[in-house]
Amino acid sequence: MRDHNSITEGERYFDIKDIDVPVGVGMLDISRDIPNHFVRKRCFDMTYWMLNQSVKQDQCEYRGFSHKVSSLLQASLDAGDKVCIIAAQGLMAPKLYKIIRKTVTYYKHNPNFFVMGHIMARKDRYPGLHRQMLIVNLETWQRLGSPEFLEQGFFWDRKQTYPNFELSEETLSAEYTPAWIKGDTGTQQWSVVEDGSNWIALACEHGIKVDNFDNEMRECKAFLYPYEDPDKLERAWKNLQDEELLDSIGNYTQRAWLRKLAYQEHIEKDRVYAYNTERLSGEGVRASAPVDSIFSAAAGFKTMMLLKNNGFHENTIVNYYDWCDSSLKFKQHLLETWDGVDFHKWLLEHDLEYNFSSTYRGNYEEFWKQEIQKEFGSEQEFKELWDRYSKLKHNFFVIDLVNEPEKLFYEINNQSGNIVLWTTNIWPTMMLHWNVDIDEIEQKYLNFEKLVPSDLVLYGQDYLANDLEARIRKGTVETHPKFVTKWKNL
Amino acid sequence: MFPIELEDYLKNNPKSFQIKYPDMFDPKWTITESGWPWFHLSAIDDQPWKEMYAEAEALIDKFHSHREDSYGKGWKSLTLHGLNEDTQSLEQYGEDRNATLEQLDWTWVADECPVTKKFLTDVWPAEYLNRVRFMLLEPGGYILPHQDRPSDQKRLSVCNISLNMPEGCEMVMDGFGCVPFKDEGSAFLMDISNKHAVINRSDKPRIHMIIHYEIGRRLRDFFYVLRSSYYTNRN
Repeated sequence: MRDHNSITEGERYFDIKDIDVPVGVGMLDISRDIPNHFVRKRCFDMTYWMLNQSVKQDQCEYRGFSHKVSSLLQASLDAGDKVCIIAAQGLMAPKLYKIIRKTVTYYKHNPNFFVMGHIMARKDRYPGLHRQMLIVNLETWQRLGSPEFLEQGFFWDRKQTYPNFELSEETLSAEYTPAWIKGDTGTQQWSVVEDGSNWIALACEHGIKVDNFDNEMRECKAFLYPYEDPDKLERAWKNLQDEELLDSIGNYTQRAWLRKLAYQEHIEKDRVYAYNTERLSGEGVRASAPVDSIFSAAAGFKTMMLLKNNGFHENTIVNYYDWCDSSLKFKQHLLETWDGVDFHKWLLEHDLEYNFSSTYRGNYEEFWKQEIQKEFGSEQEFKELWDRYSKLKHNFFVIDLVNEPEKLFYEINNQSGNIVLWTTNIWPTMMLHWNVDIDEIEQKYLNFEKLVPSDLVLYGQDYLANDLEARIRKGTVETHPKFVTKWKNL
Repeated sequence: MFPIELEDYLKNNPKSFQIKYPDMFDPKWTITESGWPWFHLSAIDDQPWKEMYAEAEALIDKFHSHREDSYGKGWKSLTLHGLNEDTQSLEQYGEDRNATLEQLDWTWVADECPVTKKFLTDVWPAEYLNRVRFMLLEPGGYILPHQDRPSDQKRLSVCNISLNMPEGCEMVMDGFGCVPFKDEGSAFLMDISNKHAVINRSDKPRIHMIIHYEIGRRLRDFFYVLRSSYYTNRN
C-alpha cells in the first residue's frame, strides 16, 4: 500500500519542462446525484485539493466547476488551453501530475485525438464514456461543433440511430471496457445509450479512434462513486479507523480508497520522514543576515540546507517542532549518534525503531545517494555541513502547528535576532484536508498567519500550497473556491 | 345530479391511501414496483401554478369538449404541445407512431401561456414532450370511472398537475381513494392502470395539466426530482 505523502523520484524531481502543452482542468458538478450534503461538499473540496496540487506546480490551470462539460471545455478553450482534463466531483488523483504528463505525451503523438476516457461498452447499450474523468483535445472538440457531453438515455419511442462501431479485443478492467473503439459501416437503433454516447458516435462518424485509459493512468486515480450509499460514505469518511464500517462498504473503489486513507492515518501517528518530500533549495536565500535561530519541522535535511543557504554561525539555535514525538526523538537520536557519513547504514541499523516512510524503506542507500548528488553536491560537503550543524544548540518542541500555533509563536517570540520559520507542507497535506473541512482549515490558517511577526523569515506553504513568504510578505492572498451547486435539495 | 354509478364508486372509495416510504430511495422500485397509485412531486411544489392557472383560465372559451360522448361531462381540453390545439391520444393518428411523434410541436396555446411553457421547457425533467394539455372540468362536471391502461401494466407514468382543486372536487382511484391534489397547485405522477373517476361539485372550473413525456437523456434529472420529493414526502 502506497503512502501518498511520501516522496518518489517522480514527485520530488518532477520536471515541469515535460509539460509544454497548455492543460486546463475543470471539475464536473455531479451534486444532483449525491443525496448527502457532507459528501457533496467534501468531494468537491478534495477533488479541488487534487487539482490544486498540479496547479501550484504550474502543470495546469483550474477552469472551474460546472454541471455542464461544455462550459468547462469552453472556459478552457477561451483561456488558450490545448487539452482539458475534466474530473468529476469525487475524483481522487493524488498523482495527477503523472496523468498530466501522460496526457501531454499522448497529445503530441495523437494531435487529432478527440477524447480519451473510460470507455463503457455494456451489452445492449450504445457505448459511452464514464464521466469520472475525460481528457479532451479542445481543437478537435471545437472542430466537431463543441458538442455537449450528453448523459445516459433510455428511449421508448425515440430510439437513437448511431453509427456502428468496432471494439478492441483487448480489454482493461472488465469485459465491457475495451482498450479502444472506432467506427464501422452502417447504423443501428438503440434504446439505451451511455453517458457521452454522442461523443463516441461523433468520433465514429469522423473516423476518430477513441482510446481508453491505460493501467498506468488508472493507477493514478480513484473515483469515490459518491452517489453510492453516500450516508455510509459520510460515516466512513469521519471514522476511518472503524474497520467493520469500512468492510461493509459495497463499492470496491470507495472501500479501497478509504482503506488506503485509514492506513495512511494510522501510520501518520508516528511517521518519521528521514528524507523530505520536497526539494531542499528551491526557494533560495531569504534572510538578510546569517540565521540566529531557526524553527523547523523535524523532517529530512532541509533545515541544514536552509541554514547553509542563508548562512549561520556557531551560536545559531535550531528549534525542531512537530506534532509527532517520534520525529523529534529521531532527530535527537540522529544528532547524538551519527557522524554524518553513510546515512543509509544508520537508517538500516535503526530501521525497526522508527516508522520510516514506506517509499524509501528498503532503498535507503539509493535515496541517500540521490540526496547527496542532487542536493548537497558531495559526501564531503555534506559531512562538513553536518559537523558544523550538529554542534549547534538544538531544542525540541511537541507542537501541533495547525491547532496550537500560539505555542510555536510563544517560543519564537522568546528568541531574538534573525529568525527563520519553515512549515513545510503541513497546511496543505491531504490528510488534514480529508479530516478537516477546508473552511475550518482556512480559519485556522488565518489564525496562524495573524501571529506571524513582521520580521520572521518564512519558508513553507499556506493551506492552498502557496509559498508562505509570497502570501504573507508580498500579499499574494488566495482563498479556496467555495462549493456552490445549482442543486440545493437532496 | 351525478350518475348513481359515480356516486356508488365514490362511496366505495372513501379513504385516501397513505404511502409508506421505505428508508432507502430506489427510483426503479418506486416507479415500477411500489404499486403506489400516485406520487406527489413535492420538489416542484414551488412552481408558479397560479400564474399557469390564470393563463389557462384566460383561454377558457377555447377549450374543446373531451369524451363527452363516452364517459365525461363538462370535460374539456386544450393542447399546448401536440399536433394541434385539440390533440387526442396519439394512437388515433395512424400506425406509424414515429411519424406522429415527429409532427409534435408547440401549439398556439403555448405561445399564449409563456409561464406554463417555461415550466415545461426549463423545469419539467424529461427530454421530450409528447401530448401536453390543460384539462378543464366545469362546475357540475364529472368523469366516470375508467382505466387508461390495462391492469397488468402497473407503473407511475403520466404527470397530472392541479392548477387548482376547488373544494368539492375529487379525483378518486379505485381501492385507494382520493388523490390529495392541492388547490394551490401540485404535481402527481399517476398510475392510470387503476380505475379512476373525477367529480366537480364546486362552482368553479377545475383546471389541471396532464403531461405525457419521454425521459430520454434526462433520467438523472427525473430521478433527482423524484428523490427530492420522496425525502420531502417521507418527512
